[in-house]
Amino acid sequence: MGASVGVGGLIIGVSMLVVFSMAYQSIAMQIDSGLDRIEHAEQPTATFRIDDATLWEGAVVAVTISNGGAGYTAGGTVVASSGTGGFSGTYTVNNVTGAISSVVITSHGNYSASPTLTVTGGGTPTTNATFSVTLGKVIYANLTNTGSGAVHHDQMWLFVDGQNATGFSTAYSSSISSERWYSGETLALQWFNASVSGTERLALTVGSTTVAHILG
Amino acid sequence: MADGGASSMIMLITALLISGGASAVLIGQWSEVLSVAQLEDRASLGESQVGVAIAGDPAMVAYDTTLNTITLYFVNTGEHALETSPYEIRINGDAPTSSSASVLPSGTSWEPGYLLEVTLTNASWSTTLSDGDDVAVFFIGISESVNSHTHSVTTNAEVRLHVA
Repeated sequence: MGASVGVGGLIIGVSMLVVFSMAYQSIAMQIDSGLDRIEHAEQPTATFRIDDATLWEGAVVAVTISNGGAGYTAGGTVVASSGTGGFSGTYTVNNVTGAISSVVITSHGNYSASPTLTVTGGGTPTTNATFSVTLGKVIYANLTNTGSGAVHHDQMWLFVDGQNATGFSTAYSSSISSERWYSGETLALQWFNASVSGTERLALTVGSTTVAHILG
Repeated sequence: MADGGASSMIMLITALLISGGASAVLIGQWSEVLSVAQLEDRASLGESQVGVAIAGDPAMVAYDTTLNTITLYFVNTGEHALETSPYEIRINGDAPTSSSASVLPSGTSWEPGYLLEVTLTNASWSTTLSDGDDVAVFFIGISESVNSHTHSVTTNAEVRLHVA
């Protein structure tokens, strides 16, 4: 009698262990699966807008110093003495010779023909500096992330007239090193030398979302 | 009494051996069932992690009437790389006679977020398509192996042709 009870008890005990083991494996698998799905949960679809987009076809995109001149001092500005377009720039001076050694564009302007550049407020030059300019196309646009998530610049593609796919990070330069477009943030795009013809529409693709805007 | 104790012990050990063996077999089989279920679950998960979409301005899809080519862009919207070949594209249900593809920004692997620029050619388009036409685009491709599974990706859209 006692042996039968013992055997029965052992069998029930082993059965319970088997059931426990199977339940444990099942629960562990469910937890693994759940964690996998949480880890790979789909990112929210990017939503954004192009607030405005403008094309300037005669922007000064480069300034070459033909003759640095002499006798200049720091503190002046480089401006256009011909044409109407709004160019301005700053410069650096060789302290020994007083020659202009580099020009930094602060406003590219927009011209129908290459303007003549001169230096104002930079001392009394003994020899005037001369410059040559390169005009090019610049697209200005303000882009706002209206979604809830941040978008990496590598995931953003620009198109002009549906062509010439260009990575956003190639066209966009920022004063900070961040490469993410955060929710609510507006990026001011200055896309230089967008080598396109026609140039009617700017489009931005992020993931499966594309937004386009007519170029003003 | 001693005989009774010995036989009980034999029964006990036999019962233990039988139930232990059965338990081992049952647990082993259950583990295999769970492994298969987990593989299928991961395959299903992988399928939800691959995707493709048409990129670029859908209102200005480049159509070259001289070369009879249409240039389309597709973006990898998933989390895994896609194969750049094979793929199939239909324009209004018609297959191009030839196509070429390249990955942007560079390289041969179509990584997540990258573009596939596809140029399709079909001489018959010169008589059937013109500037401003809306056409239906259908794309189907495959993913690279995800957890030992490959998955198909598809997208379709209406786009407007634009002759530059």
